[in-house]
Amino acid sequence: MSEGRAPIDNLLRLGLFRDRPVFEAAQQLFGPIVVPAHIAAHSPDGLWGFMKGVGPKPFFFDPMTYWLWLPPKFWLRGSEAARGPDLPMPVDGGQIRPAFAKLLDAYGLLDAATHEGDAQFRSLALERLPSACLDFQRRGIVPKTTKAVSKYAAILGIDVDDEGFTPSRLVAPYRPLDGAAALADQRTLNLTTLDAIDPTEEVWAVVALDSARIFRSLDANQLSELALDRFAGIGLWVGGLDEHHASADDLRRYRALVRSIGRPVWLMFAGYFGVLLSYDGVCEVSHGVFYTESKQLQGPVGSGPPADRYYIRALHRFYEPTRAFQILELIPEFECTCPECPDLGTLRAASVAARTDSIRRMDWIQRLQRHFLGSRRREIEAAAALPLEDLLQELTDAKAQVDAVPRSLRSATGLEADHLGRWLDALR
Amino acid sequence: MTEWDAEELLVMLLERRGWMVVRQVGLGQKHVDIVARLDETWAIEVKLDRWKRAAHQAFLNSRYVHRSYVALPRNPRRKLDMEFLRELGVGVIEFDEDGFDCVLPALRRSVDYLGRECHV
Repeated sequence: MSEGRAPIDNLLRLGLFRDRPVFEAAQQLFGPIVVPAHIAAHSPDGLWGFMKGVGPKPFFFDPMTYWLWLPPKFWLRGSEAARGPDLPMPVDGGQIRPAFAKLLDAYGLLDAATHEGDAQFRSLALERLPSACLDFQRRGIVPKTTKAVSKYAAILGIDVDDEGFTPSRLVAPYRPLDGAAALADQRTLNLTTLDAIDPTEEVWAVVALDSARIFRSLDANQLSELALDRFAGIGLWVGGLDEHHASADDLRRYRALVRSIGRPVWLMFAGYFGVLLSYDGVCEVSHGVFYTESKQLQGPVGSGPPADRYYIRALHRFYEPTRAFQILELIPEFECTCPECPDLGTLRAASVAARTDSIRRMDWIQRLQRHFLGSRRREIEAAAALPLEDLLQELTDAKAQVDAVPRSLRSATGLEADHLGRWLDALR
Repeated sequence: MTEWDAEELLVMLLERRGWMVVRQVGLGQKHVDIVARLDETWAIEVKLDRWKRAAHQAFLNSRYVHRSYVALPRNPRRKLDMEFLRELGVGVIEFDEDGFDCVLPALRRSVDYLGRECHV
């Protein structure tokens, strides 16, 4: 590890229980698991089975409380509802997405959401959340029913037991920081949380704001109102900031925000640029097995089957596989040497075979996911071991190799390394 | 003529010459318009115009079959950048109701992932 710097780790965010084989196979390739609280509230038995299957691995919850401050249309069933008109509160309970309804219930707010107006609901949320949210997390992951225990134990071929899981840290409730009133609310949430914890408990706070906002008004003075220095660390979520498309100026401001926090920072949705901010105070980045390196604070919730994506480590980004393999053929120095990637011919054959049936397709997706996790781990290890200058030189070299490819071939593959140029600008 | 009509016409012409043809074959997140096999396997992207875009896709297809082509209806006024297409290793087929010709042969590769999978 470089001198004077905290270790950096990548955390894996749970999205789907069916990703368990990948979590299990790659468990040496990531740190703690981040469990979104609505998954825990909605499917406690499934979550217990998932954690049991993955094996010994620390975890903690993302309390997902930002949802409570989104317009109610984002709570509804069907992601298309989020594109429709807003809804007045109270909301019909039957319209709320089941997982979110369970989370509201777990936080003691379902009744308020379905019977109270907007102002009263937010007021109750501020009042109840700190203790309800902490209590929910403290309960951990508990096997709910003997039936469920037997079912999952049988599937996994393990002895029946009733062992639960305790989170390795607690995370304070948070809301989007979208104005002065929001800052005041977050301050209340943070201070009340601090009053409600035992000195032996490790608690992190979260700063969640839209990318446009950090470029306007949030400064160190405002951050100091949030009592961040009294937490073990700070989760930072800059909604909508996509490392690969953000301008160098925006990335510089992002970097300045990280530095201004002055506590260990966990980037809740980040990729390799976030890893490089380990020189500015980032000690953890989290992401999904294949996705959520960036995420909007306000947007429709929904998902389909994962798209095939191949991660090219030298370029630190995903590409559609046929495109990725063509890029690797143009620049063989970028080829991966992990066990999942023996050679391009094998990968191409596997990608074609995957289109014929769902089982082979799932195998293929999981292979791509394991390759990504191995690549991310190597990025983390490099960032931990090398000085920043060396890592910047790697980016410079990769960009030069891309620029050396004839323009016609670059345009035919959509190959460009502009993002590396912007990262270099922002980090120098 | 729509692109679909053009594809239908080319399929008919290929089959008339004894080629086995499969249409809209999934490859990654795209589809190859035509995978055709006789003594070797070809991937063919059919376009009415915008040949360059088709050439990009044909370039990506080219590593999965023996030869990869862009197929365009005959048009004497069309200007193709043959040097660019040669650089990509992509060939060009021109066709009309009377038949088709390879006006630029594609680079031959020794792979046939799509042909094997399609069983054509």
